[in-house]
This record gives sequence, structure tokens and C-alpha cells, in this order.
Amino acid sequence: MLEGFLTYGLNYNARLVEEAGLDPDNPPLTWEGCLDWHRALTKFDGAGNLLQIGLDPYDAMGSYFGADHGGAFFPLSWGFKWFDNDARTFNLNNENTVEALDLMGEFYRIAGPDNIGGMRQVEGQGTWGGSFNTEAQAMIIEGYWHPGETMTEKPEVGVHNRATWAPVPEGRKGAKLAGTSLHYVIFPKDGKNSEGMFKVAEFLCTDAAAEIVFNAHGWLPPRPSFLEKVDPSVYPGLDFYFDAVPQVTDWVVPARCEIMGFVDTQFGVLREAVYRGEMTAVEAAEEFQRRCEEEYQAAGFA
Amino acid sequence: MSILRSKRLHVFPSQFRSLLPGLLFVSPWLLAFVLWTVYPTAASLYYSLTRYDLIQPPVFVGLKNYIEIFTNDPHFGRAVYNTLYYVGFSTPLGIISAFLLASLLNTRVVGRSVFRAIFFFPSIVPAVVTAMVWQFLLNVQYGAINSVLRGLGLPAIPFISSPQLAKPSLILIHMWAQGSAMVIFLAALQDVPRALYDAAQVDGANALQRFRHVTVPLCTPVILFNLVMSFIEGFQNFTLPWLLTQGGPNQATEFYTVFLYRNAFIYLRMGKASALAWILFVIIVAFTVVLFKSSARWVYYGGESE
Repeated sequence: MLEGFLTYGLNYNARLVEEAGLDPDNPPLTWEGCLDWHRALTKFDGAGNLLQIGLDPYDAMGSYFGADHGGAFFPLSWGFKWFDNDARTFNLNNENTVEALDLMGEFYRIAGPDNIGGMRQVEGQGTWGGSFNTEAQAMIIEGYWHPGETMTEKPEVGVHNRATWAPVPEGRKGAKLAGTSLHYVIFPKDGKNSEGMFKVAEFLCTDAAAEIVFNAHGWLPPRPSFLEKVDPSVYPGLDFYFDAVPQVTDWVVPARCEIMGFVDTQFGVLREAVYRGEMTAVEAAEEFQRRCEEEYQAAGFA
Repeated sequence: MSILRSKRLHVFPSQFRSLLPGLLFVSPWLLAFVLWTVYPTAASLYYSLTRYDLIQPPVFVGLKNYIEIFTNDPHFGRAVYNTLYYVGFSTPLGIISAFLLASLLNTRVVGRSVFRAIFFFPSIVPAVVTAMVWQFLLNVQYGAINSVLRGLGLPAIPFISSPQLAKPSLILIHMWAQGSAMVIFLAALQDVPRALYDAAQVDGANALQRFRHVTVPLCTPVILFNLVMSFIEGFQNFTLPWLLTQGGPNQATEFYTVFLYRNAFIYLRMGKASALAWILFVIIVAFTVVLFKSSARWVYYGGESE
């Protein structure tokens, strides 16, 4: 395994936070608190054009249902399992989903769905965190890599980065969330030159290679022996992730759902219907459950 | 013995020997045709009758995929509506703009060849580049057009991030890339006999009347051709909506092919995607047949008897 560490944190630009009259030393730990910060940090010009947003809750690590990014975020935040790996059943139509869709939709209603959509269209060109780097977005839910990547890509913004726990609903205040994901070397079964590839993989797992990657991007290998040598202060905000490990109360356990792509897509469609006012959160949760169950059956997995 | 003998093709050995070199010459094409057209087409028809996710072997399910598409998939209706909307507007608008452009370029103007090159250029720009360029122009946050509007103190226009404006924006981009149709129209316009214009002028026809009664009728075969090609292209429109909007915002640009792609490569429902492909084929054939049948009323082929 080449890379892997903690995947959830609320990263914020302390300079923008201070400018908005907020206290960067007291970041929000709940969604309600984030919403207050979002209201203060979202700015428009005289003609109503969006200049800056506080937080897009569906950006970066906030958006995924996929196991490849460490599992779904909002079920982790609201403290429930959306899919039972053993019983092969969905648990999407519940009051947590309703509350989540409504509350996270409020962030979009404040900034304007078309406005955030435009920002995402640019950022969506393979540049996670692009709007954070341009200081068009003051907060982002991203993993440990965010401090290093921001600092190496845009040091003038990276110096202001800070991180804290990813938000949870008020009723779960105090819950501390974390997930892990990783990048690894894959050996194709009948690949050519497997011996040569093994030597490359071996090198990539050494401290020398890890140091190159850390200095270039801020990525870290999941090896305590290397982590002990790292000075997290070189990337502002990274120290939070180092300190977080022993404090975590809720670790994400990715679901092994065969129709993950479908679930991910429907989540995107239905949450948009909610924040554009085409559906209530209750209707969306019901529809989410129904669509996933029907697709699961039609795909032959039920 | 009946005089109505059954007709059977008799190929005598001598005829076969003379046929052989020809068959050998076309064999590479024949082989490629079978491998990359006939086989995939037949395979997709088979897969459309199966449940197939690429990982497990296909399981025959009969017409279940087709039944699911028509009776239990709300996204299908939306995809068809979006596609018909796009085709319904982009095709006539594209044909009209290409024809008018060609008419302008057919006049004697200084730098005509430069203008022709400029107007043709968009049709040879790769689709990915086109998407990037228009993203740069239309984006509500950072696009060039909206930067000017913001600078003037005006509200930005969410061209491709508003569900109401996304399809019209894609239609606008389609009209920008009419270079190929324009060049074909230009060739047709240059084929119109000058004598007809002179005769019409002698009869007192003004420019508009000459355009309406001479130019347009004589170009109707090419108009039909471009219409058919544009319809087919419209129904298969994928690259720009996928790159620019990914079917959004709010599924406003979830066209048929985007929906098909999603079922095939994101949901891994290859069987259903194959069924969708065959349904699309039937729709396109139906539209084409209707168009050709209607052409008897409005297409004029020079030299045909009345």
C-alpha cells in the first residue's frame, strides 16, 4: 500500500473566516454550526452574483457513496448504516436521510443552486479543491491530503488552512468521524515483467519514496514507522489529522453494495431535486429507497 | 413441367473462378465488416435479451429489459423528452443557420475564402476542445461572457448550470459547429444554374423571390441529406453534454445516449443498455423513413418528370 490515512476533516481558510468576523480558533463541529458559518462566509456582489461560498456539503469527500473513497459520508455523519452487507437490504428511507437532505440542501439554497453548479463545473475537471485554492470556497470536507495539496499547489492559500472534525448533526455532537482509503500498487495476474514491477513496488513502499511523495503532494503511507518521522507542521492543518487518530469515535465501514454506481448517481439526482425544491426530503428519501431496491432486484442481486 | 420454375442461383465453376479475385480483393473489408459491425450488432441484440454486468456470464431474461424500460424506468421518459427537445430545435435551427451562412458565402465578397475557412473551422475542432472552449465562455463563475457581465454590474447568466438554460445553450453550441453542413450547402448552391437566376430576374423576381423560388427548391436534395444526417447526429448526441454538464443540471441534459452510457458503464447493466441501443436504432430508422417518405412532397430532383 502506497498511501492512506484519514479521509474526513473540515478544512477551512482561517483568513477568510477572520474576515467574515468569525473565530478561526472555534470552528463549528455540527452541521448547524457549519450553516451559520456558511451564511457568514457566502458573499454576493451588488448584482447578486456569487463571489464566495462557505461550504459545499456535497463537494469532495462530502459527496461520495462509493467504497473507493472510504464509504458514504452523510450516513457516517448521521450515524447509521445505509446498507446491510449481510442481509443485502437498504436503509435509506429514514428520518436521518430526511434531515440530512434538508439540512445539506439549505447550504445550496443560500448560495443558489445554479451558482454552485457553475463552480462545480469548473472544479469538476479533475481538480478537487479547486474552488478552495481560488478562495471562492472557505470550507471543504476533505481528508488529510488537503493541507499538503493546498500548500504545494497554492502556498499563499495553504498557509491559512486549518482543519477540525467533520460536522455531525446537533444530536450527535461530540462524535468524531474518520475513515480511511488508500492507493496501492496492483499486479495484474498475467502481467509482463512482474519481477521488475515488484522491485518498483518495493521501492515505492520505502521511506525514501514516501518522503518524495510527501514533499511533492503531502500524501502519506499508512506506516506508523514513517508517520513518526513526519513533521506535520510543514502543512498547516495536517497536525489535526495526526492528533485525531486516538480520538476517533466513529470509523466508517464501507458498504459492499453491488450497485454502488447506481446509488451514487441517484443520490446526486435526488439531493438536487430537494435543494431545487422539486421534491421534499421525505419524498426523496422514499424515492431513494424504492429506486435502489428495484435496481438491486432488476440487476439480479436481490 | 411448369413454366414457373423456381429461381435458383446457379454459379458455374467458371463463373466462380472469375468471381474469386473480386472476393479476395474485398475480403479485408468483408472480414472487418463481419468482425466489427455484424458481430457486435448481433451480440448486442443477444445481450439486450440478457442480464449482463460484464463480471458474471449473461443470463437470458427474454424481453424483461425492454419491459423494464417502457414500464418501470422514469429516467427513460425524461431521456426521450430531452433528446426530442434537443433534436426538435437543434436540427432545423442548425440547417437554417448553415444554409444562410452558405448563401452569404456564395456571394462575391472580398476575403470570401477566409470567411469560409473561419466558419468551417468549428466543425473540425475536436469535441473535447469544443467543450473546454465553451466551458470557458459560458461558465457562470469564471466564464468570459459572465466576467464581462459582472464587470458591468449585471447578474451573471447560468448558461449551463441552470436547468432552464442548459439545453438551449447546447443548441447554441450546435449551431456554432455547422461548418460541415455549410460546406455541403455551398457546393449545392454553386451547382444552381446561373441561367435560372437570369431568367427569374428577367421575369422581375427580386432577390428574396429568387432565393425562395430558385435557390431553395434546387437545394432541397441537399437539404434532405443534411436533415437526415443532423437528425441522426442529434439522436446520438453524447460528447458535449457528457463533458459540459454530465447530464445535469437536474437531469436537464440527460439525453438518450447519456442515459444509455450510464446504464452500460456506471450501472454495469449491459443488457439494459443494449436494449436501449436497439430502441434508439428503431427510433432513428422510423424518423428517417418518415423523412424520406415526406421528401416526395418537397424535394425537387432536377431532371425528373412531373
